[in-house]
Formats: sequence, C-alpha cells, structure tokens
Amino acid sequence: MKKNIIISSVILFGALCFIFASVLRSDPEKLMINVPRNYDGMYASPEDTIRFPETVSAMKAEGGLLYGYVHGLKKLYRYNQGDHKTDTLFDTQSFLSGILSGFDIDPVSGTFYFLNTNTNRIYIFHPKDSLKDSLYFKSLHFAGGEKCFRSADFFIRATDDATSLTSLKKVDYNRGADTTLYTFTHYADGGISADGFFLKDRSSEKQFFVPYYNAEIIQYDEAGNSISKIITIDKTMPHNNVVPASHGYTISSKSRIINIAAAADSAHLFVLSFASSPGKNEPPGTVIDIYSTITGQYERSMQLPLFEGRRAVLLEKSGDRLYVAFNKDVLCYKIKYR
Amino acid sequence: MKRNTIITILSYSLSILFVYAASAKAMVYTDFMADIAKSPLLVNYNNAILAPGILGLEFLTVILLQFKATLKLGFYLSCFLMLMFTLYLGTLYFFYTNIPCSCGGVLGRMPYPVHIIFNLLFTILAFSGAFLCSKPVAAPATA
Repeated sequence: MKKNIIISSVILFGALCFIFASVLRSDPEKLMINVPRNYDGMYASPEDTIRFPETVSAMKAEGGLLYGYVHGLKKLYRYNQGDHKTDTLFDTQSFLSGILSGFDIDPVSGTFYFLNTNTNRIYIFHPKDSLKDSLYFKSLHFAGGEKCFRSADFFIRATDDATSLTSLKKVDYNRGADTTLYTFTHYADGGISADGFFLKDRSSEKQFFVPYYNAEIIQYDEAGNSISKIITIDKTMPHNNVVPASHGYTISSKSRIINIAAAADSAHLFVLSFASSPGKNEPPGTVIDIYSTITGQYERSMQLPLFEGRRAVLLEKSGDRLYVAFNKDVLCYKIKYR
Repeated sequence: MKRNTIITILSYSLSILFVYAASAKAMVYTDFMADIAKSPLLVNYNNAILAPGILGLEFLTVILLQFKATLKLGFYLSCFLMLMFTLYLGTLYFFYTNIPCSCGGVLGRMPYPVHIIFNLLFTILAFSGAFLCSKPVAAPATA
C-alpha cells in the first residue's frame, strides 16, 4: 500500500511538473502551424508610402488608382500612382450610418457601391453626375459582399431568417432574386462563426470569401459559375466561436483570428496570416502566405517588416504591386522574383 | 464482485478508451499535429516528437494492460496519461483563452467541462486498477 502511494505521488508530481514546465514555456499569443513555410522565390520591395488622414478601413486598387476608405472621417480617398497625389472623392456621411461593410468599384462605368449592413442597402454613387441610388432586398440581410463582374448581381454573405443558415449568394437586386452558391457549416450563432471578408480579382473573374476564424477560403469562379475551396496552411476547421449574450450572440474571447487580410491577382491569393511556423520569428500579421487560385495549393510565403512598430491590417493587389495598409499608412511594394 | 473481475473491467475500459483515442487521432494525424501546434501550452514543443510520442504511449498502455505481468505497469501508465490529459485540459480551460482539444472522434466534441470530468473519472479508475493490482490476494483457506 505504501509503495502504491509513493508511486502514485511520483506520477502526480511528474504530471504536475510537466504541466508547470508547459505553462512556463507557453505563449498564448502565438498561433502555430505545423507546416514549414517556403520563403524562396518571391519578395516585396517597398516603393512608395501613402499617408491617409486616419486609419484606412477598406482599400481597392483599380486602373492605377488606390482608393482608401477612412471610417473615422467617413470619407473615400483616391491616390494617384502617377502624380502621387491624394484627394477626397466622397463624403459618405450623408448616406452611410454605422460601419461600412465594403465598397466596390465598376471601372467601366466608374460607379461606386457602398455596402451598409445597418440599413441593409447597397448605395450606388457616380462621381461624374453624383447620381445616388440604393439597392434593397427586404428579405435578405447581407453581411458584406462584392459586385459581380458579368452582371449587375452581387456576391454576398447572408443569413436566412427562417432557417438561420448562413450562405454565400448571388443576388439580383433588380429582380429581387437570389441563388445560393455555398452554405456554411451551421451553428446557432446568427452567422458570426462564418464571419470574414470579401475580395476579388478582375482579370480572372474570381471572387473570394476569406473567413477570419478558420482555414476554409471560398473561391467563386464567376466565368465557370463554380465554387471551390482553398484551405490555408493552418488547417483550422470551421467551429462555433460565439457565446450567448444578452441580445443574441457575441464572439467568444477564446476565438482566434487566423486570416487578417487578403488580396488576389490572376493566379494567386495573398493571405495575411496570424499563424507562425515552427522555428521562425514570425510575429502575427507579418507573414503573407501565397496560394495558387488554380490548384488551391499553398506555394510560398513572404514576410513584411513591421512599419513604425505596427503590423499590416489590409492588403490590395494591382498588377505587380502589393498595397499594404498599416493603419493610416499604406506601403506600396513591388513584387519581385528571385 | 471478485477483485479480478473488477481489475478486468477496469483494464478493458481503459484499453477501449486508449485504443479509441489513439485511433481517432491517428486517422486524422495531420489535424492532430495541427491542433497540437495551436495549443498555447504546447506551442514551443517539437510536435514532430510530441505527436507520435503521445500516440506511442497510448498504444503502449493498451499493450501493457493486456498481460498479467505488465498489468500493474499498464495501470500506472494509464494513471500518468489520464492525469496529464486532465491537467492539460483543466489548465487550458481555466487559465487560457485559446483551448484547442487534440482528441479525435467523440472525445474531441465533448464540451470542455464534460471532457475534464470524463478524464478525471478515468484517472480515478486507473488509480483504482493500480491499487487493486497491488493488493495481496488472500491465501486460500486450508483444511
């Protein structure tokens, strides 16, 4: 009996020692992946710095122009790469209440689209004749989206009131009709677990939905009308990351953002990741993982230094240039190959 | 119930648990490795050693629990593993915000408090097995 107690004590002590050593070595801020990153082949060379009046909350690049939306001032700014000048394009104060959930540009018509989930409307604005209109679909509550390339439809994320299912839909606002393209794993959370952001590449006519909390990026090929997935290298499965709150649900403090921002070109998706790989000094938000949008496979990564101690928060790609926003500063990098 | 019957039930229960847990992890080995990598407690360990180490220990425990000569050692190893898993989950649940569970199958889908209680129960069972194994068998009465 005495021997048993001694052995049990040794086991208990050994287990406690291991856990204590693990606690000392732990790093709650670190999100590790199991795959070594490949840093060969591509790097970003800084070319220009663009300073906006306040933190840029959304960014688009079209035809040599960079558009930055500053939520703090509710203004859309335009930066011209040619003459390096920034001007104010719109003041959205009059028609945008709450937070802008995305904006889009049709470069052919020069039309701007501002998506507002508070009013469930998409505001249409044309700078030449200041025409203002809005699109509204009563039974459909969207939470972000982008305009389609080939039609006046929108590629949006919406949660169905009746079924509580969150889906990616193609919506024809003029006819009041929608087509479900992809339905997310369902949790009773009002679609919060499937939160993320949209981006697109005009040359390949592809749109992307990048989730914040898991690895499943949804790619919509408008030309082929097909949906496919790109799984980021952290391989985090979709999970319920909300907790009940007094009025519905809220994000759990235990949930971790994995994908912060992304940008795409004709063949690649650039994802700014919060995850670190083994044996590397990769502070969160400094590594961009590059995936092939054709095969869906991971290809390589590149690391960006912090800018004045701040990490990147937004990405945008235009030609061989990559725009990276660090709060109110946007750095323009030229992508180069070794 | 005879002591040997209880020991047999305990060893089978633990064997089933470890076979299930190890197999469920082995079947989704890449996900298991990825989950370990995301754990704040294990983030600085080499998971190329840790992951096969955990699976190896679980299968070894099952083997040790199958033979009379190694049964006691099997129970002690079970105690150690179950205690480690319980302390690991408990520490993550109570002190950390990010708590990935690397268990596969139905175990990985349990809510954390239930999972901790489940682990604690099997830890007690493993200790009971070890203690029962050590208790000397009463000498048969002689005429």
